[in-house]
Amino acid sequence: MNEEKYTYLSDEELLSLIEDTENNAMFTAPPDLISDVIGKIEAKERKEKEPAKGDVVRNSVIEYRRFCMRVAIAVAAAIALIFTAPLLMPGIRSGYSDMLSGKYLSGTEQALSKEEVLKRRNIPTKEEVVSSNIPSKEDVLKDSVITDRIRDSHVISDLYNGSNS
Amino acid sequence: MEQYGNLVFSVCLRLTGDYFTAEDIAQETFIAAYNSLDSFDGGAEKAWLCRIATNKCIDYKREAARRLIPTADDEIPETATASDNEPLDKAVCTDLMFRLRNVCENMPEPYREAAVGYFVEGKTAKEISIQSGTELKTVQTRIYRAREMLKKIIRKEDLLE
Repeated sequence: MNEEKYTYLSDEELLSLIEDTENNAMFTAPPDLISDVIGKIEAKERKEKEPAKGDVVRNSVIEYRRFCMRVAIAVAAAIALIFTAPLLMPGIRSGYSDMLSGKYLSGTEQALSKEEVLKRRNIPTKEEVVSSNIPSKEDVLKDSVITDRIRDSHVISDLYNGSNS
Repeated sequence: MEQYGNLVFSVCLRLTGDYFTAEDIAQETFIAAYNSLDSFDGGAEKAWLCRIATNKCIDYKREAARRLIPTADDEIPETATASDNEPLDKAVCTDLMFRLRNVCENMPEPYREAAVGYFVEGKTAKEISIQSGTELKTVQTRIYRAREMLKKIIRKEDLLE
């Protein structure tokens, strides 16, 4: 067949071809030959460094399973906390037992009215507040302790000294 | 690589008789050489590179022969003088380059300038870009298209001969 006509060159034939080419038939290679070769080698190396598609899928599956595991642990911890918190913290226990008894939900515990809440707090009325011991202007001016304090303050003392001089 | 670029390309051109195939095989030769650098003992790199190049050219010719439909002529025994192992004569290669130049010069603008500069004068895309004041990307595109046009024209001429 045709294929058999093409046999690899022997060492002698190769050396003779190189010598003949160098002496008689040297042609200029395309100018970007070397830069193209370098570009192809770099592209190949870059491709080899990138993880294979199968690896990417496997990594994503592992990452997803880790995420599911974390969520499951967080849910389990939250459920455990709901049941253990009343036992660990007594303050929560009473409120929690009230809640479990359904006292608030069933309406057996009546909510307080506005007036009841105000009575319990003992808030003074407007009149009481007004008639309470607020000193009048004259009392304040007569009170030497207060006037001395005002005089001692920096700005007022400057003004005071200025008016005296 | 730069030292042996012209030699490897010339060897490939002589063995294949096709500018673009020679270019492809020369590139493959350097890539193969880079990949098998570990197995290279360090001596006679010129012969080593040319050995890779000639083997690749022969593989290419074998592959091309396999693709051909066998004819009745294949059954006729080859004469001793008609061996295809012999590399192409220098005159044939010179003729190839001459034809390449002609085709480049007859190309329509703006491909003519890029083709003549790149394939005939041996300028890089960057040099052509600076000289003509055109953007590098544009020059690269023109060279790429000129190459495709050249391949078609030259291979068609070969077929008609």
